[in-house]
Amino acid sequence: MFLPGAIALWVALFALVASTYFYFRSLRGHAEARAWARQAYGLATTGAVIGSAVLLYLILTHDFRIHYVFSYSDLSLPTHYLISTFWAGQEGSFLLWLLCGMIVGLPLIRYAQHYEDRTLIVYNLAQISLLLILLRQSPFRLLADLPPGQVPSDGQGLNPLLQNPWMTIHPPIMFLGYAATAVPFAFAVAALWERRYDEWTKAAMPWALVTVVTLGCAILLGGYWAYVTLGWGGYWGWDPVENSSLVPWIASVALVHGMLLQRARGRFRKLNFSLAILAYVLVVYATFLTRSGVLADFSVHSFVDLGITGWLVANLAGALLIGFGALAWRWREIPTQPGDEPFLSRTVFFVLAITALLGTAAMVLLGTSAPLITRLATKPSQVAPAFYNTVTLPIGILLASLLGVVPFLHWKGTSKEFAKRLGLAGTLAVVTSAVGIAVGARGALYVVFLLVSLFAFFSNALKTWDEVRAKRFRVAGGYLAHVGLGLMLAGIVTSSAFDRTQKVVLTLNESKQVMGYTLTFKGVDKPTPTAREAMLVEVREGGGRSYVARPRMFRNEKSNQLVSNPDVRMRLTHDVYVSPIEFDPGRSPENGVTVELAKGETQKAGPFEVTFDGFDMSSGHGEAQRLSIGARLTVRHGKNAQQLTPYISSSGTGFSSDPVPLAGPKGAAVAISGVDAGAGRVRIQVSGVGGGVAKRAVLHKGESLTYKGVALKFDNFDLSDFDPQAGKINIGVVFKTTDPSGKGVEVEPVYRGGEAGESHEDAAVPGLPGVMVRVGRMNPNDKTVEVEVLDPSAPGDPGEPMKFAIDVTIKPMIGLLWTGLVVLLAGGILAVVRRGEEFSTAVAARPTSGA
Amino acid sequence: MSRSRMVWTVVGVVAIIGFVAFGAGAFKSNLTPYVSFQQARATSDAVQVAGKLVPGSDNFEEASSRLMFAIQDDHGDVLKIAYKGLKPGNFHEATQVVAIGRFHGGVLEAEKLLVKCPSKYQGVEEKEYGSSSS
Repeated sequence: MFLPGAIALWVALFALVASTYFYFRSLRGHAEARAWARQAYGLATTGAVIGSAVLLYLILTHDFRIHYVFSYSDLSLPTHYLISTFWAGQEGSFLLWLLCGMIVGLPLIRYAQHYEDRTLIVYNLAQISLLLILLRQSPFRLLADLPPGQVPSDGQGLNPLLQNPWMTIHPPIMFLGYAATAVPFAFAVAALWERRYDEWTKAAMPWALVTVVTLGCAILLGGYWAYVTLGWGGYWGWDPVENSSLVPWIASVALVHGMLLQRARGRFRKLNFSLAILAYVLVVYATFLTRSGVLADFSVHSFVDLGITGWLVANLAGALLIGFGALAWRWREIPTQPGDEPFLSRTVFFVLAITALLGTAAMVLLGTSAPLITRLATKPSQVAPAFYNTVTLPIGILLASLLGVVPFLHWKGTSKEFAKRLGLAGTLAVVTSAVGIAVGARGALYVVFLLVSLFAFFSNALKTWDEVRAKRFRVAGGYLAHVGLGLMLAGIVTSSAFDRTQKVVLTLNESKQVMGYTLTFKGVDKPTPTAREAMLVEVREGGGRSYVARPRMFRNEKSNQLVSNPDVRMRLTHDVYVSPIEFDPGRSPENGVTVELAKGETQKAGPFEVTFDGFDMSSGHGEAQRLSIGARLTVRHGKNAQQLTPYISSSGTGFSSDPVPLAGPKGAAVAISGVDAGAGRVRIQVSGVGGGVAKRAVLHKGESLTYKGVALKFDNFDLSDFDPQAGKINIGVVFKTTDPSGKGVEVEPVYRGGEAGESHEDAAVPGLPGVMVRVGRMNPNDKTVEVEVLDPSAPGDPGEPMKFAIDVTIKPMIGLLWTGLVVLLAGGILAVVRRGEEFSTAVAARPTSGA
Repeated sequence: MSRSRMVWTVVGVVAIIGFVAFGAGAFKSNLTPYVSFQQARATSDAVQVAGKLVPGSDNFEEASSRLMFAIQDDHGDVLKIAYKGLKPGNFHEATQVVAIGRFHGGVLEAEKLLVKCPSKYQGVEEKEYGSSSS
């Protein structure tokens, strides 16, 4: 255990227990105990902050003795990803949650007023439950089985899918939202306890809004992340982890509306207590689902069972007991009154909306818990994503309709401009939907959903406009948020239900027509040696505009994982989404001429005359730890002379030779295939000049290949330079043949491979000038080798071109979704500000009160 | 309670019950239990199968733009799978592949793939992939 961090957490635990104790004493009437309780809470917060700082320090200094640091970070991560490894794993994310919770508690103490003692007792218990999990599975534990004195030199690194800027912001916002749900819960239980059933909603409202804004933001950020990075073309997969943050969010939204209802009509107390308690219980349940391993077979996000399942169940039981227990205890005492509002009133519509929201939450929860539920009856199984879409569509239509009607309803009836405004909104919605149908919207339910979403958009937009014109800016927050919501719903249905998709295989430099676009695969681009390769696809659009899409497909060396990124191009009316499916690098043409030159010597290679001018030993070229040798050449073709210097570099594990293109025949290039620095000779291969594989055969030992009268007998392998441990894969193949004078000669082409790439060192065939023999694939099981005879006079092998298979999707109006998100957030923040101000003015007006 | 209130309450309750029934029905019909290969072949419902990837069996069928591969269960039964989405990252290192889909035309047309591989990360890590959802 890394002591400083562990001690900080233990201190936090004891301080929280002390704080809880002192708050109990304060309840009993000991006035000075409250001050102690607050100080203890402050101490606990300090402990959490110090603990977090320690973990961050360990990560930033690469202390790989610590299990957590070893498991999730490594030396190669840039600083911002390094910081985000803090929350990459189970323990760290719990610590982040605790930290958020402790910090959220500070203003809570300030604003809780007479509820303070009881609220903080409950709140402290919630934080203690997190701390107990942290102490059970500590982020500071050391690597097990570490021999004394030995520290791993590098960590395992961060999952490449998480090496993304979104990883730095999405989780912290998410955990802030989780932490904030504990506040209304604490208030609700405190109010039940104290028997003051009314004012708590005012106190808890800003916190509930914080949850709605932060969780909502985090959820949508996650969706955007998936959309632009992962390549499966969606932003929401109904994955259990996604769902388990969606469900508490829906409950929090219902809670906010319920609180508004209670404040306006003085009723619905039981409803709000239930909702506040439910929201927190759902967060705890969600944590249980995703971190206990019960869904391990069914979700990409869920961590494996790490031994905290018992604690998670205990947490859940505790939350249920305290929350619903308090509610049950006071149930009969809570005042209720019947209502008398007509159907067309905000009151009734709010109740309907809350019911619809809870219905959605219940269905999503049902689907997510399917493996648990079915486990009880038969074998565990999950539900197909179609379940969620089937079930949420009708509720979505209902909710969007309610959303559109409500702005012009008063609490007890309709507003004056009800008919006019809704008529206008409805007309606008019908017109825009008709436009939508004209450009491709289809499917009855989807069109209806589009219609009501647009109706909600226009209706709330009109209301926002009315409020802004009357200078009631702060009221406008809620309506503005719903404007955003309407846009988002419309964007969701247009981009998913009305999208068009097509898969296509593109061959290098050949254009294909796909859904109105002309696509051409231009090759692979690797701008710097360490950059990830991007495939270049030129997209020419209808109006003559064109751009180059750069989807990527690469292998992460550490985890050997194939990662792909899509290219998303945003246009006003749609997104063009190009996602890689498969990449075939093809086979380069097997046509080349090899010549061996001494310094100053000139020889003919195909249509070129090549002169070797000398070596270039300046090892400034190439990356670190690579030894490079260049050969300065003068290449003449007709009247042109070119001076160039191809390089061959070795890095101890093999070597690679980079071809340099030649002016003249298309595709011609020259590369070094061998160097004898001692003798001052270099072997040059000129490729792309015609001539190719004249004969190919697979030989067993002792078998012969005859070409133009010369027989080559495969005699043996030469493994003198073969050391896989050192990364040297050099396999020579010895052939026995006879030279023109009848003498027995051995020729030995060599295959050189290794991490730096592979190359062939071909051997000249005696008696046939220019003809080389090359060895290809070797099969150690059958003890065969593939032999190729390269003859410059043979027809060239064109090789096989590069191919790139992609999935092209047009997503209409998805911009509405992201725009709607921004508007939603703006409206939400405006609403938080308004409710926060309201509460603090109410607080200032209230005389200070005791317990 | 007034008369109209009662009527509305009844309507509401009926609507809720109706929706719950609808949801339960959708739930059942979308359940994808783990089944054996035999059972998968016998039904047109969506099912979930698991098996070891047969090495070398994977290839990209250009004509239909699908990834084709085969998995083998503990009894040696082999099932062919066709998948329209992106080839999962750790596909070749997978110790187990789980596919969710319907059996049709001699292959299981998978909507979702789950790839389990021995991982350097804690325990066994699973990767799940789906083709573009609705």
